[in-house]
Amino acid sequence: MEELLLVTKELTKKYKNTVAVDDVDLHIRKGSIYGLIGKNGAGKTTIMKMLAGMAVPTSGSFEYVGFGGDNDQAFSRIGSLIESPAIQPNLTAFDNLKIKCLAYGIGDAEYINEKLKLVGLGNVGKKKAGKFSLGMKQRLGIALALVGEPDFLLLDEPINGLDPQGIVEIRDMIAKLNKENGITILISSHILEELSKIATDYAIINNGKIVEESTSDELKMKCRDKIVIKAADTAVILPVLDEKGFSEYQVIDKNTIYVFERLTDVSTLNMEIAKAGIPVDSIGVVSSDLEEYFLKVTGTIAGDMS
Amino acid sequence: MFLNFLKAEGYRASKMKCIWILPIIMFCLVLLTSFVLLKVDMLGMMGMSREDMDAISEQGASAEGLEDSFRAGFSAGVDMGNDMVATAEGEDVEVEVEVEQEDVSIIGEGLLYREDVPELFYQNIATLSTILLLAIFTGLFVGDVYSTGVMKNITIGNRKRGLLFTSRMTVIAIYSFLFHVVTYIWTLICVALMAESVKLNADGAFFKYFFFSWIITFAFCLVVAAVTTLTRSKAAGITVGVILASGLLTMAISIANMILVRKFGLDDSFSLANYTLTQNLAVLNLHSEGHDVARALMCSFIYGILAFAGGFVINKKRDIS
Repeated sequence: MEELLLVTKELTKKYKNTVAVDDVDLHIRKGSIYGLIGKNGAGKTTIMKMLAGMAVPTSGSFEYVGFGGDNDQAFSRIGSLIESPAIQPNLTAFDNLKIKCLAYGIGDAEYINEKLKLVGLGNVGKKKAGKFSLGMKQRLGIALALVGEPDFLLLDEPINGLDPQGIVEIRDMIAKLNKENGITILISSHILEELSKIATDYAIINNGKIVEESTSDELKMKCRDKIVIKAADTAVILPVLDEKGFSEYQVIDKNTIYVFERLTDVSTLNMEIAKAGIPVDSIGVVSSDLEEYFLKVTGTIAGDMS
Repeated sequence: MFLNFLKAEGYRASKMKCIWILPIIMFCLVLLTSFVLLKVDMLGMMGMSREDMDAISEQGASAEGLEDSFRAGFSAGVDMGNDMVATAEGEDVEVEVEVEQEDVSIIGEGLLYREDVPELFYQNIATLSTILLLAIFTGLFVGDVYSTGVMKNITIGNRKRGLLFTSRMTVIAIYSFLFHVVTYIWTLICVALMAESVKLNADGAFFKYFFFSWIITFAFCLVVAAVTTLTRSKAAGITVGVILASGLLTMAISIANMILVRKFGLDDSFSLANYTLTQNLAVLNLHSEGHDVARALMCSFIYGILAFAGGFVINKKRDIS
């Protein structure tokens, strides 16, 4: 198993009578891009705030095991862009970065310009940050998060409100930071298709609870096209599958089998099961993308994501 | 780390427009006050001469002395208007008196025309303009933290929020001190322009007054900062600061004073206003005696420490949003 950077144990946050985050256990691997998926109000931002030290957990704990377990020390190695970018609208991008640089004890102009170039804001000059487009503000937010050379980046909905071009650019930048700089990234979004293009691990959160935690490969497996066989007792179907040369299948429960190969042979397979005298409730090819899978897992009605 | 935070907060403050605008407004206010005190001939307008005023001072500024002087001025036939007709109606007699008027300019030697710089500086501080303007600065500077969420960026400070808050208050302390210095410089310029001569008189009494008045001012800023921190609102902080500095609470304080005196049988000389920062700043002067100074300092420390501790705890305990 790869080395873990962060582990949370029964992390909980309550606001008066509302439980925003409920017994959350996360396992974030070093070097991963960990996608936190959930609809608005699911608790993604609250989890991130607690991990960044901005909010205190009501109960439970988290430990930056990858940083030696000293959370106070770990906060100096974290960069965050949580909720909207925290920028001073009356200042230039350079000045915004300079404030953080001074607080971190870093600070020559070259370093700041390098960060601005990295996020594509190298040519904004004296333009005030308040006059930036949404995409530029997001980039500036990421540049701010990158000050201090963090090893762990928390990005809360960084592609929210961006145009397609902006989404691609931010996505590429995140992938680059992860690959070239080795930064572990925790990223939340409800634009699942975009997240699926970069994330290596996922946690699906619903109403403050983690519904599922899996790797990208595991999730792809669950979302891939497959033959779904529903029957009263699936155990008797397995010898038929073996006999007909199907090896890539998975028994989901007593009534459901997923078959991931030879999807065009569905009618043949149906006939062979019928020939064996086994009654089948339903059989057919099912394809679902991440979004559909998410809706199914969280029990959310389509269109209710945001 | 404190030094780094101090630099960051200082840099943030230096980029605020109000840091330059407020001293300019202060200059206008000092100019106005100085003009009234140095160039407006108040005594002449009241029909008094400087000698009369000196006499009043010698008599301990008694009401009797003041009345005598007014009478003396009136008898001298010095008036403000041009030709004035006074009509007195009696039961049987109607007398019409016509008084020949002189042209009198209101511009001349003001009350402090011959005074030194520290005296005019004290008068400028006592108008409470400094704390009014510093309340605006404090509200904007602290409120900016909440309106922009700048603390979210400084992840390194998330477990050292107390340190961050202390550095913010240190910036306010430095700025309020510099504002005091600037007020002194403006006063000096005004004296050079309008007074008889520039008498610096930078003696111990002046430095003591300068320092004590700054302590009261800083304590006042801490109160405004605490309110802004508590409400996370620039507007709330500034409003409270302006209300306190402009004396809008005088009526409420008087009522509270009355209730206290009646309820607890306190001495009639007891005044609740004496325990407010604004009153102490207005009353404290270059010649204040030990009792007044001690009360002013005590009030400053109590208000200051409570406000700082309140802001510190709120800042430390509350989640950043």
